[in-house]
Amino acid sequence: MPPAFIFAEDIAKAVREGRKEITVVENARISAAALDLIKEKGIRIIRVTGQKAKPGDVGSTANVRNKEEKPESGNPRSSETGTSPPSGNGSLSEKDVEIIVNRVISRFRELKGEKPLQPDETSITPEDDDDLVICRCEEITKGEIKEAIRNGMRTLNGIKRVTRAGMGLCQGQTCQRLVSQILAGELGRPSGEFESTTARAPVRPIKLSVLATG
Amino acid sequence: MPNKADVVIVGGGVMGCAVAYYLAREGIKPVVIERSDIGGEASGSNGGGVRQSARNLKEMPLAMESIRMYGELRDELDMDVEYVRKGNLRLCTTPEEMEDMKKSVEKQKAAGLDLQMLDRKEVLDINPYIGDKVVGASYCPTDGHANPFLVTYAFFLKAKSLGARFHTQEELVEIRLQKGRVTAVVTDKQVIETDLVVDAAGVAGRKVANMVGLDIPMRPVFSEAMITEPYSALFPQMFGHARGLFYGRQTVHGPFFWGGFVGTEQYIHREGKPLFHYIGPAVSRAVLDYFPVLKDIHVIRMWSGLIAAISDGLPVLGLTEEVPGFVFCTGFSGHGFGLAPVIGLLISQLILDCTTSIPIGDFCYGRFVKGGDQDCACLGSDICTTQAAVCPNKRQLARSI
Repeated sequence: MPPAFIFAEDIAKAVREGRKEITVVENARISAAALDLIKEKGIRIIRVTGQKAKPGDVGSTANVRNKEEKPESGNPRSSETGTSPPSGNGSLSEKDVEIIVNRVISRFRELKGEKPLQPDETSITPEDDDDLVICRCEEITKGEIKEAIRNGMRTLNGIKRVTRAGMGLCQGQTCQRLVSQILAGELGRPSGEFESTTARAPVRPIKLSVLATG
Repeated sequence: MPNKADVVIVGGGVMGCAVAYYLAREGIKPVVIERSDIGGEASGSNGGGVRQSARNLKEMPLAMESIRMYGELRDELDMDVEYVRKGNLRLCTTPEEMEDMKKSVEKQKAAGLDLQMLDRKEVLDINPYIGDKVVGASYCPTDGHANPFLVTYAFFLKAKSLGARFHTQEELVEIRLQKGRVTAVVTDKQVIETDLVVDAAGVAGRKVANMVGLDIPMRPVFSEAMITEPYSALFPQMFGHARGLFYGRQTVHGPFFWGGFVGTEQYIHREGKPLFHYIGPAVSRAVLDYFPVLKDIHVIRMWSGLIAAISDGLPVLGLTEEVPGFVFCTGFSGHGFGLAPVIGLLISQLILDCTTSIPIGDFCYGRFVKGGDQDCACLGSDICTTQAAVCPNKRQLARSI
């Protein structure tokens, strides 16, 4: 079966071997560093239709996101330095390694003063869960949020303005963390980096006639 | 390889994106510098009014052309920007307000605007939800509203697809001059060589002008607004008030937008954009006075923004002889959104051909520095005669591309 993840290392290997193409499964994840290399070296990625990494596999995106975000809830710095705890079995899964490698690479790039990783606009591929509703109030899907990021939105406020995610009754109390995780995933950066949307009064919806007595 | 650009636009709001689009449409590939995200300041917090009525008469030709362009924006930019052209009512509550309004309506009609005075009965025919206090209103049927986020976004996406480059999360640090001319723009990430900078930085427009040694009488004026929960469609018009107490509309998604002023806003000078506990209630009271039907609807968010207010309430547009290569496109004083398409077009014409299809001489920088209105030769003319001397004339460049 073709690989379900592609790292920068794989691309480098392909380049050394003089290959111009890499075959992967349909829903394969490609690390941000690999994306950069693909663009730079002009490698073509061929997705085999019909062959997918199963949900529940280490490669499933839902899993990745969960694992990726857990460390940040406590101390965002610890995850940056690569101490992201593996879940359960005591050893690092391939996916954990990818996340750590990506973090280290982006950290190095930052230290070298290079631009932070940007998603390659043409390489973001549709994923199975793109129709997942992220903002329930306004019924905004993951795919719509990803599209806004692909189009250049880089802040939670910006994504909110163009997608309406977080503009509904709950004012983003449900979806904001999810949106922040999606943004983090797309840019290959820790989600703690992103400033939350501007918090504003009222805390709960208030009747116009009640507000008028204030 | 030197980092070069034909034009650098400072500010990725609706004006910056519109200028970028109209330039890109003609083959120029501008670079846009934005310190936060696209539409991060006033373009992301305004009420979305697209109106001609109650504008300064000098702005009227621009506003009328802009309304025409808004009608075509959907096809032009391939995006539904939620533009609704269903009229604007400016409500009056006292006979005195009616008298003042009548005078202003006559002047605007003389300037060619289709505007009328309505009595209470006629107002109720258009909008049956209006409360008892209203005695009449001015009505401009061609006014309306649009979604400011989407207009900005649509200009941005289209400009980008035509080759404009956008650098967001990047702040302007310095504009380099050589022999008084613009030669480069320095941001916190790069240096871009260019001979033309457009100041479309909105409320930061003064700071940008200061970088090349120019100054404009602009100050940030605080403004607060609120949005309610969605409600079934009640009325499509935009509303204003004779004395500017409040303004607002129902958006196409159902929520009502209301903004308003209590009078102290222009004296508020605070870091950031805090909310003030007395403004929201004051606006609510004003709204309920005029629309009692909304008393049980819930407000879900209040926010504030800054208006780039110029001393005479008019924008600053065009070139200056003082600093060749510097183009003003700022200071829209709280009513810029409705002008965005026409301003984008005119500034692009100015850059390409040194002339504009609608005169912009009334908005020149010279009006502040040459001893007032009377002495500036360009007032009422196409553009400053002195401006013509420093015109970039990029058309040649556009053709060669």
